[in-house]
Amino acid sequence: MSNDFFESMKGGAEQYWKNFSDLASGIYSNPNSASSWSESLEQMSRVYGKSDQNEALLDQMMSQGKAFLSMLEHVYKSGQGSGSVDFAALAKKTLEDLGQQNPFTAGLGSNPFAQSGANPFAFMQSANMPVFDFSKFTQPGGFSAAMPQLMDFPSFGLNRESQERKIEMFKGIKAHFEANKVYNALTLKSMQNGIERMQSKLAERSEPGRELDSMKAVYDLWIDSLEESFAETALSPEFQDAYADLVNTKMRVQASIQKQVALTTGELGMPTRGELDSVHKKLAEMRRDARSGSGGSHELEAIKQELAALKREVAQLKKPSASNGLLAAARESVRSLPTKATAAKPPQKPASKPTKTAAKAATKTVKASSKSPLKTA
Amino acid sequence: MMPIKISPEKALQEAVKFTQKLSAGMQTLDKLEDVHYGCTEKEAIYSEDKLVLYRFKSEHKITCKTPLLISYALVNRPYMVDLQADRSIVRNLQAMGHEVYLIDWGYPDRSDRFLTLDDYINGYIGRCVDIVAARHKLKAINLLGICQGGAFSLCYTALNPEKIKNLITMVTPVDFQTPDNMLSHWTRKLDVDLFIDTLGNVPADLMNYCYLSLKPYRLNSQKYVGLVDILDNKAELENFLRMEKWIFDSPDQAGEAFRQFIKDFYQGNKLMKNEVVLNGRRVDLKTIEQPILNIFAEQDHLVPPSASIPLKGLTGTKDYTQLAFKGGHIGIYVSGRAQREVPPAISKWLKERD
Repeated sequence: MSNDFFESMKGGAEQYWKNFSDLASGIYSNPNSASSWSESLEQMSRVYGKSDQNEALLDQMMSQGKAFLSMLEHVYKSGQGSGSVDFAALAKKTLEDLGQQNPFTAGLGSNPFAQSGANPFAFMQSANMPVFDFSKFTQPGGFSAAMPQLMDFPSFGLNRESQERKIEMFKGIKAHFEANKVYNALTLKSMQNGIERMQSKLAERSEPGRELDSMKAVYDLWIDSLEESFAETALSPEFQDAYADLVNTKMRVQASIQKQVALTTGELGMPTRGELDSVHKKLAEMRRDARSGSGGSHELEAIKQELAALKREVAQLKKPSASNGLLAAARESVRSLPTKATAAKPPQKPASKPTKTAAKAATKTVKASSKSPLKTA
Repeated sequence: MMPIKISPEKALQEAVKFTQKLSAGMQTLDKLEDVHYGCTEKEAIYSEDKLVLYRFKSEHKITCKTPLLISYALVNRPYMVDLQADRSIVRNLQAMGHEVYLIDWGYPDRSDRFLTLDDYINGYIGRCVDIVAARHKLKAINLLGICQGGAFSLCYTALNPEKIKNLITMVTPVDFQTPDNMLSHWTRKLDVDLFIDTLGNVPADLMNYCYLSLKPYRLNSQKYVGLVDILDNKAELENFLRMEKWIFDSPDQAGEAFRQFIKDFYQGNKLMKNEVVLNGRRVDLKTIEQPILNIFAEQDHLVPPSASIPLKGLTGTKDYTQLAFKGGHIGIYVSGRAQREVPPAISKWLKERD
C-alpha cells in the first residue's frame, strides 16, 4: 500500500479530532447551549464508533464519564450567580443520573438478577414457548391484571398437573417481584443515607484550607460516602434476609421454568437436563473409582508388587537344587494365590467393576496367602 | 465557609481537561492490541480432566531442594501469580532459587458438576502433590495455598500431613463468620441446595456480579472515572486491561463442590470447628504440625484479616509465622509493594526450613 494512502488516513484522523475538539469546546463555552456537557461524550461515541476489543470498557467509561461531567455541569451552572455549590441539589442530580441505571447493575449488562427483575421470561416469549404472556406482570396492575383469581382456584381434571405447575411458577414470580422490591428499597435507603453521610463529611471540611477545590475530589468523597453507607446496610440483618430472599425466590422461579422446559423438550424427544445430569453423575463416580484403583490408594500397585515378590521366591524354589518337599510346598502356595482377575473382583460380585472395597478384599486375600507355607517353609 | 470551593471557570476547565483526556484515551485504546498474561515459560507435566499441573521453567539456579506447589482458588484464574514480567510472584520466587509448580483447575463444564470437595482436595491436589514429590524423589513438598486454595491446602495437609513439609496460606479464610465478612453475611441464609439443584454449575457471571456488588460504587463507577487519568499512558492502560481481563476471566464453579463449600465453610464455619468431612475423613487442623506461614492483606474486602488471623490458634504447629501485607486481596499478588515484600518473605521463610 502506498504512503499516500497512510498520509491520507492520518490527515483524515487529525481533521476528525479537530472537528470534535471544536464541537466539544462549543458545548462547554456556551452555558446556555441546549446541549448538555455529557452530550460531548455522546458526540465522541458517535463519531468515534466502537472499538472491537475494548467495547465493553469503553461503554462503561463513557457511561460513568457522563455522570461525572453532569456533576461538573451542575456546579458550573449553579455557580454562575452565587459562586457556591449546593450539595443537596448536586446529590439529587447525581442520583438521578445514576438512577437511570441502578449502580448495582451499571455496567453489568449480563447481571442475571437485574435481568430477572425486569422480565425473567423474555427468552421464553422470543422462543414461542407455551407459556403465558409474562410481560403483563411488569405492567401496571401486575399479577391481578394478568392472572385473575387463577392462583386461588383448586386444580382438577386432565390438566391438573400442568395447571399446578403453572400456578407454582406464578406464585414464584410474584414472590420474586416482592423480594426485588424489598431489596431495591434497602439499596435506595442506603443511597439516601449516603447523602447524609456526605453532608456530614462536607461539614467537616468547612474550615479554611480543608475545602474541596476540584470536582474529582468531590466525586471521590461522594463515592466514599455511598460505599460506607452501603456497607452499613449490606452488613445489616435486614439486608441478609433481603439478599437471601432475592436469590432464593429467583432460584425457585428458575427451577419451575426449567421443569416446564424439560417437559416441553422431553415431549419433542430431546434429552433433558435431568437425563444429562444422571450421565454426568455416573461419569464422576466412574472417574473416582478408576482413580482410587489405579493411583489414589496405591492398593493395586501394592498387590502387584507383592505378587511379583512371591513369584520371584517361587522361581528360586523351582531351581533344581531345591528339595522336592520345598518345591511341592511352593507349588501349593502358588495355587492358593489369587490370580490378577480374582484379586480385582471379589467372588461374591463377579460381574461388578473393581471397587475400593473389592481392592481391599483382594489385599486381605493376598496377605493371607503370603503367610502360607512359602514363608514357613 | 462553603466546603466546596469550585468556581464555574474551574469546573469548566476540569470538564474540558476530562474530555480531552478521554478523547486522547480513545485513540490509545483503539491502537492497543489484546493484552497477554503469563510471563514465565512453563511446561505441563500432568493433566487430568480439566486440570493441568505446570512446572515453571527457571533461568535461575535452583538452590532450594524442596519444590513449591501453588494451589489457587477455584474462582478466577491462577495466572494472577504470574501476570506480567514486573508483577510475578512466580518469577520472583524463581530468582530466589525456588522450583515452582502451579495447579491450573481449568474451566469446569456441566460434565464436572458432580465433582466434590474431596475430588478437588484429596483427588486433584493429592495427585499433584504425589507427582511433584515423585519428580524430586521426596516424601514431602512445600505447599502454597491461595484464598480458597489456602482452605483446600489446610484440609489436604490435615489429612495428609506426611506429604507436606512446609505450608503457606495466603489470603486464606479460616473463620468464615467474622462480622466484617460481607460475602459470608450474604451467603448465610441462601438456600444452597435449591441454588445448585437449579443452576447445576454456578455461572461465572453470577460470581462476578456478586463480587462487584460488594463495593458497587467503587467497582462499577469510580474505577472507570479514575481510568481517565491513565488513558494517555499506554503501559498503565495495558496493566489496567490485563487486570480487567483477569477479573472477568472466571471459570464456572462445579456445583457439588460449591454446595459443600458454602454449606460447610460459610454457613457451618466447620473448618475452624474441625468438622469438615471429606470422603468420610474428618479434617482436624490440630493434626497440622508442619511450619505454617500465614499471609493476609490488611485491606482485603473479600477475605478480611479477621477471617485469616484465627489460624494461629487452630493448628498443632509450634512453628507459626504471620505476615500482614499492607494492601488488598488483589494487590497482594500484583502491586509493586507485593513484589518487594511477599516473595522475599516467602523465600526467606522457606529457606530457613528447607
